[in-house]
Parts: sequence; structure tokens; C-alpha cells
Amino acid sequence: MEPTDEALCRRVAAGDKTAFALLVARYQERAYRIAWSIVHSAEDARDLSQEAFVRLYRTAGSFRGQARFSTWFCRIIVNLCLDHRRRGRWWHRLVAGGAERGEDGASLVERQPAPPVDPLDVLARAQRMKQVWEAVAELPSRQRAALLLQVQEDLPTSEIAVVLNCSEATVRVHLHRALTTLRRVFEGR
Amino acid sequence: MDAPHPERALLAYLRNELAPDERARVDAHLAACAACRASLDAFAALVAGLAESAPAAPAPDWVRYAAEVRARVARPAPSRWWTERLAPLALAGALGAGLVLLALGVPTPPTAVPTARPARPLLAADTSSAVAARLGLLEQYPVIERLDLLENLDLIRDLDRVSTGDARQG
Repeated sequence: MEPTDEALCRRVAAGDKTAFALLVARYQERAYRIAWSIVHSAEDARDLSQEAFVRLYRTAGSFRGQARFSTWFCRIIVNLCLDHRRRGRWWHRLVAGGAERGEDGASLVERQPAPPVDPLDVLARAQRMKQVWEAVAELPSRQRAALLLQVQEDLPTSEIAVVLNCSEATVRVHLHRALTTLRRVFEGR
Repeated sequence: MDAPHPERALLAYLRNELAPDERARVDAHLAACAACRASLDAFAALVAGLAESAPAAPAPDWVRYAAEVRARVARPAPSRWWTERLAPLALAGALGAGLVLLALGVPTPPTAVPTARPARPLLAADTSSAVAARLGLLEQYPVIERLDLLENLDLIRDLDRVSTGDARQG
């Protein structure tokens, strides 16, 4: 039987490197995906998600098991990403000229998944969603993080509250404000 | 508690996260409110669209990624040398500067009507000697070496006015 995340974390706290490698294998894609969805830079997502694993390794002993391991770890990642966004990296945006490119040289727009090859209304919808995602990028950091954690990571509101260190009511406010903003774009208002 | 329109609860309603009593209240409200039904439909379509069209993160080389994590973990934690070494120096510097300022004193503005008041030393003799004793560094400054001169600074600064006053009085 596979050990649980929580059991692995306790072993990491005791210095078990094999347990740490297992947690990295389990969570690397998710950690990277969450980081990328917030910072939208392959390089920064790689750096921040790796830093989250370093923090996990060094602070595993502080995991008390009050929340699920995944929630606790997600909190580490999101906090790193929000701090990163707060710091701004104005020079990075200046160099990138607003059209950030990934390691493959593709722009954010080019990296959108290809829409299904089909009718015009599907194309119109894809175009609209592209605008919506552009609006997502403009949302305030915590609204954006709450939305991405719910929509992409399927985290329940209660877990997002733990990750963002706020009440569920506050998460609902963040989500409602984010959706209200995006709805205007979605409906072309 | 939500305002009359439970808009903030609609996403949780869609995700079936509400407690039964709150869900019942939202159900009752939706049955009677076309605007909230429209919001619910719009949010459902929006969330579905976001979930379907989420941009995919460019995948890194996971083997290399894991190796980098191992390397980063193996590195010693960054020491806080600047807090351990520089902070005491900065504190000592600030303390020294404070004592120098204390020794020099802040000149008091001359009074409008000078009287033959007794000269007030800027620094009591015992204070100056205590400062000098605690900070050998101060001895390097020629001005500080003659702290006794500073004791009469008020009198020296007001000397001309004191003379005039004395003349008037005389």
C-alpha cells in the first residue's frame, strides 16, 4: 500500500530523503502548474516550485497534520508566488515587452490550447475565452489565486481559505469579484 | 450572512459546497429571482469555459527538475550573515553617532531678552567624562578632546548680547 502524503511528510521531517523524493515525484507537476498559472513564466514557475520543495524539506517538521498535506504544501507554493508577484519584477516585464515567452519561445497567446477544429461559434467562443484569460491575468493577485485554485486545481472553498490564510467568506468575496469582472468580458459588456 | 441576493454563495452552490440550510435558502431565492438565476447560469458557463480552456503550462524536463530540487536541498541554507555580523556593527555605529550628537549637543536658540542667567553647560562634567571613558574612539576627534570648552558654548555664543545687557544694566 502506498504511503500517504502525510506519512511521507513525517518521514521527511525525520530526514528521510527517499520519502522526500517520493513527494517530489507526486507533487512536482502540480506545484509547477500552480506556480505557472499564477506567475505565467516557465522560468519563474520552475524556480518558485522548486523553492517550495526546498521549504517543504526544511520545514516538514512544522506540518502538524491539521490540514491535508496537499493544502499545506499548496499554501507554501501560493505564498511564494504571491510574494513573487508583489515584488513585481518590473525589469522583467520591461524586457519581455508584455508578451512573455516560454522556454519554447511561444507567447502566452500562442500557448493557448488549440480550439477544436470546428464551427464558427466554437471559434468565437475560443476568442472570447482568450479575452477572459487575458482578464484573469489582470485580476488582483488574491482574486486570481482563489479563482485558479478553484477552477484549475478544483480546491474547495474551505481549502482555499487555508491556503490564502483567510476566512471562507473572504474567499467567496474574492471569487465573486473575480467572476463578476470576468463575466463582463465573457458577455462582451 | 448574504445580502438579499446571495451572489457570493452562487459558486459554492454550483460546487455543492453549501450547508443544507444555506443551500435551501439559495434554492428558495433562485426560485423567485430571475437576476440570480441569470448570474448562476453565467457563472456556470464561465467556470466551465475557464476549466476547458486553461492554458497549459509548458512542461519542463521532469528528470532534470527533480535533480535540481535535490541539488537545491543539498545546498546549505543561506546563512543570515548580514544580520549576524552587520547588525551589531550597525547598532554600534548608531550608538556611537548618537553619543557624538549627545556630546556635541543641539544648540539652543538664543533667548530674545538675554539676561544675566548663569551659563548652562551643554554637557555636565560627569556625563562628558563618562562618555569619554566609554568611547575611546571619541578621543580621536580634536573637538571632542576639548569637551570642557563646550561647557561654556552658550556663554560664548551669547557673549555680545550679555555684554550689551550688562552695559544697559550698568
